Amino acid sequence: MKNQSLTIALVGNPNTGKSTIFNALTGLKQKVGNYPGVTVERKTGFLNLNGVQHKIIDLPGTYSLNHKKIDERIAYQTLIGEYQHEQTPDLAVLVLDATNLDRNLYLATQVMDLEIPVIVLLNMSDLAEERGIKNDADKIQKQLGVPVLPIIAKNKKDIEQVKQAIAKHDLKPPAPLRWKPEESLSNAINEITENWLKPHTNLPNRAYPIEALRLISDNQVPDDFHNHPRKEVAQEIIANAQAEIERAGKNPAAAEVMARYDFIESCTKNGSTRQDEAETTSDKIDAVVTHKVFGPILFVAILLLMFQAIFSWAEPFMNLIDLFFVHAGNTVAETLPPGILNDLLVEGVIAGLAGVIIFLPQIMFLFFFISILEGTGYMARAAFVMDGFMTRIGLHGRSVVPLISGFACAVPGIMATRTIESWSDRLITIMVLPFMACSARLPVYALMISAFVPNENVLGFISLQGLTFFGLYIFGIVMAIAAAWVMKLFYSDGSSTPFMMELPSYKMPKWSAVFYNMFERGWIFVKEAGKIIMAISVVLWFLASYPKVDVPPEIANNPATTEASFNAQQSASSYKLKHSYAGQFGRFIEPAIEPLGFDWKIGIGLLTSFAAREVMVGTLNTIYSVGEEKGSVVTLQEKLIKDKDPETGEPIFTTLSAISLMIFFALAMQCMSTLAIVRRETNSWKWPIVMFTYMTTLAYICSLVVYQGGLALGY
Amino acid sequence: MYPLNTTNAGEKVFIKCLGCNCQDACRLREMGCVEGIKGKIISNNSNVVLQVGDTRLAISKKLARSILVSLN
Repeated sequence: MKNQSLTIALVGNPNTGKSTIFNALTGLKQKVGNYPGVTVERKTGFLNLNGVQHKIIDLPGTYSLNHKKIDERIAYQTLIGEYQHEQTPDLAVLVLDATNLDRNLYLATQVMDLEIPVIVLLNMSDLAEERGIKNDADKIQKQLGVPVLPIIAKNKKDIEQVKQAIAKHDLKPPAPLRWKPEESLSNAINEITENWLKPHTNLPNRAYPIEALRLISDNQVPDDFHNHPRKEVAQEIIANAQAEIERAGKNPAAAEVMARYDFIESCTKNGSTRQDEAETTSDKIDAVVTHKVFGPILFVAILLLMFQAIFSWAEPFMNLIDLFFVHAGNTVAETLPPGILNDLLVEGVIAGLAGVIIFLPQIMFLFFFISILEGTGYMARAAFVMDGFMTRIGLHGRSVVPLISGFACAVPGIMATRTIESWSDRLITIMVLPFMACSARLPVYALMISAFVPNENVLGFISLQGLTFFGLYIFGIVMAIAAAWVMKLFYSDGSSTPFMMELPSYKMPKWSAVFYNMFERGWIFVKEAGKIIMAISVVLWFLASYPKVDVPPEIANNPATTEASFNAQQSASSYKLKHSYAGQFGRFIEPAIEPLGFDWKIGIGLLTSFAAREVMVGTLNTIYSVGEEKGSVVTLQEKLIKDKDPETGEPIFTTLSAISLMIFFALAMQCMSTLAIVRRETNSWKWPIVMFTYMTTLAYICSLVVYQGGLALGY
Repeated sequence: MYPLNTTNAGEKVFIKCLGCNCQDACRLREMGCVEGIKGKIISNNSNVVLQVGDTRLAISKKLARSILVSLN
């Protein structure tokens, strides 16, 4: 290769470290994790080699090119040059797991059949050595006829070697492999190629053998032919080809796999040896973690601990942030001359931001724990342990990882459903996923809980607040389950596939990745939430401050308000707010939300939070700051607790209305990004509309039942 | 020959026959679980964890029932 810009694809089985190598080559920071299916989309980046820029494509992991799931199909289409009219990559870098070479070579032989120039990397060579697996790279290189490099992806020196190998590659397609389809199989390949693929499809020539083999091994004509005008012809040709293999006494579904594995065995025999394994630590851990009884208990215990930790560990950091914003507000208020700008900055921008940034520590802790669960390899076990249960409620074991990702954010969770094969399973998982309590709900929960749930200890070490918090997460899960069960009754195409998943070996999480992920997500939260909240805060401040009205003297000097200055101020500012634009609007919708226990201030918050949930807190903070005395250091929690109805003197918020509000937030669909991603993944507006309607209706009904029921019971 | 779901943790088995439907069998084979290969049962609590080579496969009970194995 001389000074020509190349497109290079990274191909390999799931969880072999493609993304780690991609990051090392491009200097990007794509997400990595220790479970199959982290990358579900193509990622592209650039590598600069001796002054030439090469495009690197990180493909989703796949076990074979007989694509069935969307993420696998992306890999296949890219390799044959069918992905959005792109050319076939100039070079494929095959990333193989050195601890499990036989299975990884299976995909390698398929890719080489496509006649794409390749480099083979045997990744995780250190782990292989540790386990007493010896791979003879030279021998494998001789057998395959392409460059083979044993590497350790996190080793800079090895990555340098990979770059050299790319630079030195002659870009000639590999010589045809010596895996030989025996006669009946190769006849069948020819038959399908000549009679069907050549005349009736637009596939590139190089894809013929792979496509023919795929049709032979699959007894249903694959989905992509359903709309083909000549699909009967295809069916007949395929049936003939299969019959020929059967006449030779072979199983058409297994013929290709067997032949390839025979070849692979000849490659690795003496080339790769393995000591007979004793019981490893992984075995012992798995015996407990995947146990029928202990497994689920452990799973729930881990989640409980996680949420308790998020709540208690984050507190000191949150106090610090709070202190910072109170001082920032006061400093600005004192330095700038009093006036509109001063009010806007202090009451609008700083108050709005403070309300949201304070939850940054909790969000970072959440991502810290999720990264650890992903990094160790526990996620795949969680999927396995929960599969029996998930099947019973109509979901699939593979739904578990997307659902757990949903705790962080529904958007990546919905993307992760691409690893689910069956369309109905996938759709139902997408539809119930937003019930998982995402990090944007966390600020609302945290605010309400810390204000209205007493901080008492139950069971000695777990606080009532932590337990409520956990309860809300469980509530989200239970609702997701119930919704899935109901949807399964209405929508099922019977295409469910049984659970089968690779469990990766346990590893210590890569701490740099854990911390990187934690700070990255924290930053995204600040940036995204910051943008929306800044804008909404400013608009809201205006709406809540104008028109300026004169407070009637009897309210301004109301002696009946006992708690001296604070409440007098409160009711005066409350009067002003009530007559502002925002107040008028809030009161307009009050009749609709009053039965849920919400007043018009919450009403304003509900409206703004339809853009994104966390905006609620910023909104309340802005609303409660407007008209506030300068230099006040009262936190939002205290303001909520002390907020009283100026006419009746009853507190606006009770524990019951706080719970009702949290339930509303747990269930309502208040997230533009989620609706947008559902639109993209389902390719129609139907499902986002269904999702919005059913979730929000459900939220209203549940809040109504809880609040009215609570009142009736005398709470 | 026994169905895979009747084995016990710790037992070593030979995979004899993948009796599940084509697509699932194909997937199992692609993941290294081919006829004739030696495997080890890591755990079997209704769902089965099967070690084949260095691949650890989690397999649901329903699927395990259709995989026939012989004991060593």
